[in-house]
Amino acid sequence: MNELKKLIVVFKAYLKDSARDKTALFLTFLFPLVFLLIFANVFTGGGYEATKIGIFLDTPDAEIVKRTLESTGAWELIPYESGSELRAALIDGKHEIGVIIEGNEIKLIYREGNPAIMGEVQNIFMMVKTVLERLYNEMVEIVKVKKENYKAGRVVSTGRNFILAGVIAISILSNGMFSVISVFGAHKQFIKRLIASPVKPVTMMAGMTLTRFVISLIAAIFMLYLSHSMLAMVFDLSFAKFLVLAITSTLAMMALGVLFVSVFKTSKAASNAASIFMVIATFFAGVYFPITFLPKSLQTFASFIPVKYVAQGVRYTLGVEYMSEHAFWMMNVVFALSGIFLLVWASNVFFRPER
Amino acid sequence: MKIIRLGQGFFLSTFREFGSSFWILIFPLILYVIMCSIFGHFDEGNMGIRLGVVYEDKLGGPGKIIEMVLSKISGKNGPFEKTEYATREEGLEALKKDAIDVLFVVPKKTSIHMLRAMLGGKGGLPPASLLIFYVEGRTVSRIGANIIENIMDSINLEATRRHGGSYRSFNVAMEPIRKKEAMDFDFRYYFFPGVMLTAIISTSVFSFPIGFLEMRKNGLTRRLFATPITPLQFFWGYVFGMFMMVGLSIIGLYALAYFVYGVKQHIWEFKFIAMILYSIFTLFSLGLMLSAFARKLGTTVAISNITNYILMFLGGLYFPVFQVPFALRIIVYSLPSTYLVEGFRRFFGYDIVGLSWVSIFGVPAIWAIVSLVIFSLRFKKVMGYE
Repeated sequence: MNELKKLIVVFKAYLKDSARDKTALFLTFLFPLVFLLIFANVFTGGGYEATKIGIFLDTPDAEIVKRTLESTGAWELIPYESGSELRAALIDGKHEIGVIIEGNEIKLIYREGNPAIMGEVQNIFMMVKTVLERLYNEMVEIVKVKKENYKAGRVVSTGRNFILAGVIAISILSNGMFSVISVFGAHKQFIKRLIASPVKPVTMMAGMTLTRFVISLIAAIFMLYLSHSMLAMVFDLSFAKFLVLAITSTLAMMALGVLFVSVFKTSKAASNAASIFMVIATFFAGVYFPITFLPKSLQTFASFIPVKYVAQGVRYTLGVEYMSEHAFWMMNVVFALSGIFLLVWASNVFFRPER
Repeated sequence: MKIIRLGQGFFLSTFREFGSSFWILIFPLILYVIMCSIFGHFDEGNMGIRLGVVYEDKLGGPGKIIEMVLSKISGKNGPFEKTEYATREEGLEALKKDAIDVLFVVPKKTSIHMLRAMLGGKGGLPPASLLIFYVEGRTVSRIGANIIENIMDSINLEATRRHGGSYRSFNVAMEPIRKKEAMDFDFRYYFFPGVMLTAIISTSVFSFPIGFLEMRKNGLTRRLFATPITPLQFFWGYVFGMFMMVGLSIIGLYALAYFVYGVKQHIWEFKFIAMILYSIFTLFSLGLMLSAFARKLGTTVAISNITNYILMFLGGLYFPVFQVPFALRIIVYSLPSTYLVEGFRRFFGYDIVGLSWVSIFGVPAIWAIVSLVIFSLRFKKVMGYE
């Protein structure tokens, strides 16, 4: 049997083994989806309803004021009969923000202690005065501001498709890293027995790598399909580049997995260390919150985390973010070379017969 | 006595295990530091939004207002770090390459248009068009564009006011509603209970189901039951061991919050500590219920992971989640962690959604009762002495 046939046999065997591992399948396919659903809704405002704001208007043209404020489209106004009634409603938790307009005085009341509404409170603080002064004064409009959502990539980006790209990046990376740890860690004895077979270490390694890569890729495509059909996300996938990035980043993370397996004596310790690495990497990858939000020292630390670059690369291949061709290919070359080097080294170390 | 010794044994065994120690003892500390770093950074007003500016017009006359406004909001004065670009193309290229967050363009003839519009008065000539370019997907870019838009809009109001004639001006005042005993809002206090609950949840949803299952599978329970140790003693010993583990984690978090972040108020009060014990009781009960259904290690790990993330993120341990879509909100309102974290924050006077005290204690209590009933019914199976 030539090496290609052997490779296919190994690939098929590992694919069957992976398909039978329900936990791994769950963690590969459904877990990232749960993440996506939670984060797409919690962090990006996707699917949010208009903010409900209690309002009391003590002004003759209350209806016009209400209509004007509602015409901004940002708020749903719930009218109250008096200021005290509105305050009571806020204390009872019926609303988090209320506006009282009495003559020329605007009182913006809000329930303190909720960081999620502070942005909205600031927004209302700035907008409500402007809207009302525009309504009552014939404006001398000397400047007009036009806001344009600039297309840095091939399609207009949104918070949601940024998060999607991040979740896919993390999914690809964790698949790559943990697959190596489970193969070399949990099945060390099994691997030793395989040495007695006529399969070359490199063929064996290539077969395993190919299996994990195919699973990662299917998982990523599954996620892209669901996010497009269920969450109506828009992206322009450059499949060839996505494929290249998926291969090289999987290779690089497999190499990182090899490092963990080599450094730690047991597979459990390696798996724990890898989990810790992934959690910390996720925090500093700019996936769930922008790296700019971090202090400068932590921003520097974040620039050493590979997840950050893979997330950027995935955004680029989805067409929602810019990356120069040069940077993209350089990143892939670095990932591929480090991955191949470490995997070849690992195949020789782990498949070496015991003396 | 046997229970205490068993508990010590389980505690030491868990403590010596690197993975468990990390997730229960170290991870909450790292998480607290990260959260405080991010939001402490905001509190200092260092948003550092990178603003690119292109002056296609040499500003003069009323146009100078724009320069003045931009200098007022840049550098030490405001949230922006300003960089000037010679051409719009250069600026857009910088925005594309993420070298800046927002690009503000002052097009040609802006000063003239502003002057004409000003002289033309109300309903006069068309105003000068200013352009803001941003990238929606980048959060900072979105925030920066909104700020600039609002600031530039205020220029019109100022021009109208100065133009003379009657001008109806509105005064806006902020009125935060807080309870009499409430403290000023502080992220260090806000995140403290959330991170503490993270430690309790991690212990509960992982250590109980996986711990009992592993001990059953590797035959430890069977061997132990051959000794004078009863299943009940074994059970209480394990619970005590995990309680010690969680206790150590909470002590570590208290030390970090107290000595490093200066979180000193309310956390030593009896009612706060009683709430910690109530949370441990409730969430441990939940963990016991999960262990009642644990059969295969792989499935158990998956269920524990999902439960952990749902309790953390949809329980609002870090960010309030009461405005998520209806389907997710049902989950939010049925989770015990939602009520526990709200209960803790009440002690600081932070009342996020106005839950009643009855629900704060009642919903977790229902979870605890149901969980303990289910666990009791399957006690023999979990302990492996059927």
